Amino acid sequence: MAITDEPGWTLRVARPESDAPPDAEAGDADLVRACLDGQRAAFDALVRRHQRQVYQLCHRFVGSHEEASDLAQDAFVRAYRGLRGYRGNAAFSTWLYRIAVNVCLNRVAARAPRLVPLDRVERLDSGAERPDTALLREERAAAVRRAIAQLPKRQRATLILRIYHELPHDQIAAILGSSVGSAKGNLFHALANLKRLLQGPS
Amino acid sequence: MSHLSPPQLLDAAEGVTVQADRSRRHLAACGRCQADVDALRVTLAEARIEPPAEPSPLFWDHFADRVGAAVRDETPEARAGAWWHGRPTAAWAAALLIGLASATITWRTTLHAPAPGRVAAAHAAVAAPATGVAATGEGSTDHAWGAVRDAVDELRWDDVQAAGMIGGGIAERAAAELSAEERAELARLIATEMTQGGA
Repeated sequence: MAITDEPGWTLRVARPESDAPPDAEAGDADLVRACLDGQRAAFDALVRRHQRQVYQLCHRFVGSHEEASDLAQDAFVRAYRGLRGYRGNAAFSTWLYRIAVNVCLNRVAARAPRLVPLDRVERLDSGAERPDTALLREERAAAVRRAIAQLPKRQRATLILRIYHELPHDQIAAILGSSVGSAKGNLFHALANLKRLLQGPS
Repeated sequence: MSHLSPPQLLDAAEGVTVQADRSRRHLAACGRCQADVDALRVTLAEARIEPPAEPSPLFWDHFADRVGAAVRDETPEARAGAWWHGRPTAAWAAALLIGLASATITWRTTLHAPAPGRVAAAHAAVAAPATGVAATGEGSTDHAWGAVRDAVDELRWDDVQAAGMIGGGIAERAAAELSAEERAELARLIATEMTQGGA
């Protein structure tokens, strides 16, 4: 496209490439807008920025790499489809977490929790830890994982978001669509249940 | 003595520094609440023993590519969520039209066919020029549609659009399947409803 204002001068207006990499410093809201304007690379940037948190959130729910990958992908695809529904009232990460939590809750509601046998627990990088200490630690971690898998859905979601993602209570409340008091109450009961489950039958 | 609430106990266990003086004083004096806070702290520490899942560093590029491939043929949808969300007017409008169409069909099939005189009167009643949603163009030669158009004139265009009644909505499809006489009766019913409703 060329616009000529004066003889001898030609102004060329270049349309931005739809796959041009977005500015690395661009905020989430800017990337969302760019994505809605047709820049697919902007969504790719959003994925790369948030994929670790979303994957780890999903992994906390299902405890398996393959399932967590599938759920995280599902969450991003749903986010992409519903991108016009993001109004910017909350942080993009809060909106994305809400989608991911819903995807995970739907999945765990559809089947019994997957319990990993102790002999199949992935070995952790225990550094200079003594083998017996590392084993005890792994066993305890597996017990925690099993106990969390038995918590009611909302308690589990609250505990995961608070303890493992260190989100503030108000953000957890926004993700779960509840009040801050309710989010705190959920976490309180989740911890009480977790304690009971870790102690085993008395 | 009134003990601390679960949120207050949680704040204390998480070390939230800003606590009401009353809560702090109670905690210092109440062995039961202090024991609850200690138990919460122990459980929090135990839960944190589980490290986050950390896949191979190569996984992230692979994952981003997977998501990119999954959305390649997709476009963000026009509107997220159910169309009636936050649009009660649209929901009521859709329900009204569906109800009227259903009532007409039921009336025709179960009770009696319209008397010729009434049909003629209805035709005469709806002979007024159409306005509003006539842009659909469909049925523009059918005078019975005039009353339907008049009826929906009250609706906001956005609500009707949000209700999905444009371009193949349920109500439109139901109405499109009516015969000329059925449309006339539908028009009469709408006119009656509007008169009764003081419109």
